[in-house]
Amino acid sequence: MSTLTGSGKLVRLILRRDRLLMALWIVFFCLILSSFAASLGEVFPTAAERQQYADNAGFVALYGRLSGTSLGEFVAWRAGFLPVVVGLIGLLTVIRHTRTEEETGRRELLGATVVGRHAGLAAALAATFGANLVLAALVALSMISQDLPATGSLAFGVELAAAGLVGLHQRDIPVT
Amino acid sequence: MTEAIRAEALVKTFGHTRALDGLDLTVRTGEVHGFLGPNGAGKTTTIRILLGLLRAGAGTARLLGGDPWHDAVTLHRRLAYVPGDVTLWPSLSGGEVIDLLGRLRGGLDKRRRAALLERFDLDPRKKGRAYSKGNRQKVALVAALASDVELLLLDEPTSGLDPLMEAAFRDWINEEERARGRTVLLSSHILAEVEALCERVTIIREGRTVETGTLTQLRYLTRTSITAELAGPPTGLAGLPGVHNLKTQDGRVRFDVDTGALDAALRHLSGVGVRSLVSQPPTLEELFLRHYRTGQPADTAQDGRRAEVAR
Repeated sequence: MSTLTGSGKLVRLILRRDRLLMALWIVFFCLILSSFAASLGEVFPTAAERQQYADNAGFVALYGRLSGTSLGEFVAWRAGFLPVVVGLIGLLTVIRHTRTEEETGRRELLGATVVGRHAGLAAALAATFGANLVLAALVALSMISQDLPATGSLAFGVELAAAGLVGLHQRDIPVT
Repeated sequence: MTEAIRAEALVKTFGHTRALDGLDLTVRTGEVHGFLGPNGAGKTTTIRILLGLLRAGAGTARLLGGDPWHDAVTLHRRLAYVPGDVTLWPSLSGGEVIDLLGRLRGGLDKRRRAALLERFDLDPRKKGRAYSKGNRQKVALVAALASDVELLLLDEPTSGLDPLMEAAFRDWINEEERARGRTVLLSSHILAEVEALCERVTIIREGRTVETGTLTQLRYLTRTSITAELAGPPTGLAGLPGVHNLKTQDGRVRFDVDTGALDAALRHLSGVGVRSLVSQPPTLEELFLRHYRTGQPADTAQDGRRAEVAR
């Protein structure tokens, strides 16, 4: 597949350019999830308190109804805005490594080397995909480290990653 | 002699604009070929088609024996390109970019890389955002010239370089590239550069080739300027074929003469008696300007005056 020649080298270029930015975003999401788990568990220790908090009309409009009152479900519900943020970051990352490269003329510099016609797009998608997988794994780990159930934590991590991949906003995965 | 590049009747349109309108270009293997034309004539578009970055609307192009569009990836192993306006990645240092482009091209001569950095006085440790226009240009130049390729496509490579660096570039092409026998297509509008470097030249205008040949052949098409102080009045000089723009003042004459009619004009002058004579060889510039103006309406006063001078 000669149109993809050089994709690996371009992935390396993307990671070289974005290593700090990607690491910061991933750490940011891990911190949000672990701090949500810690603080929400402390402030709303009982099922009744969580249900009462979630029945607020504003929250219902934003995040929908609480699907279950366990701490995991409560955290996943409250973190319902994160998939949008991850989706946007994924979108901007791909744009940054495709369209922006074209507009600045750097794409031409690369396009004249031994690089296939679709290698640029392939590399941008592969790098974003990889970063999202790392995000899923680390977010799941940080939730598990707060004593949330492993399956649900992993599901939530994958939800974020999926949102990062297709801008998919799937909010109501119950974490049980 | 084999041909590194052959483009015939290339056409490229962007909407209603015809960027290329039947352009022909032939570059022989091992030569430094000048590619001249005013801004917007289609030089960059041609190079982009040769690189397979654009697809020609009509016409044929062959590059190193392959098809620039279909065989782009394999052909790119054998060529290096320097764009006229280089943008670098702000967070990558110049050295990283040189190595990146070298890796992507599949080979970089370390020794030549070092020699070029020294020749162009370039600090490879600075980040892309810290480089000036000229230094960004140097980064792309070093990456291209240090690579192990047989064809160099240089699109106005010295734009933004200071005169010292322009000279360094010329020396490098004349010494190194000529010795290695690499083929160079040099697009430029700096005539002195083309005159100093190129064996053959193609001049294009509005997407069409208007002149192509060796510098000697092209010079033959131009005129020599003569200024002479004469012993008597230059009677009959104006009537000679090939004599243009004759001006007489206090026994001095000034005129331009076609290269083919030079002998007859000089014979006529010595018949009158010459006290002093200054002859200016035809410059590529005159040829260039003549082509640039032909067919263009003289819409401003300045253009009109220049056109008159050229005639």
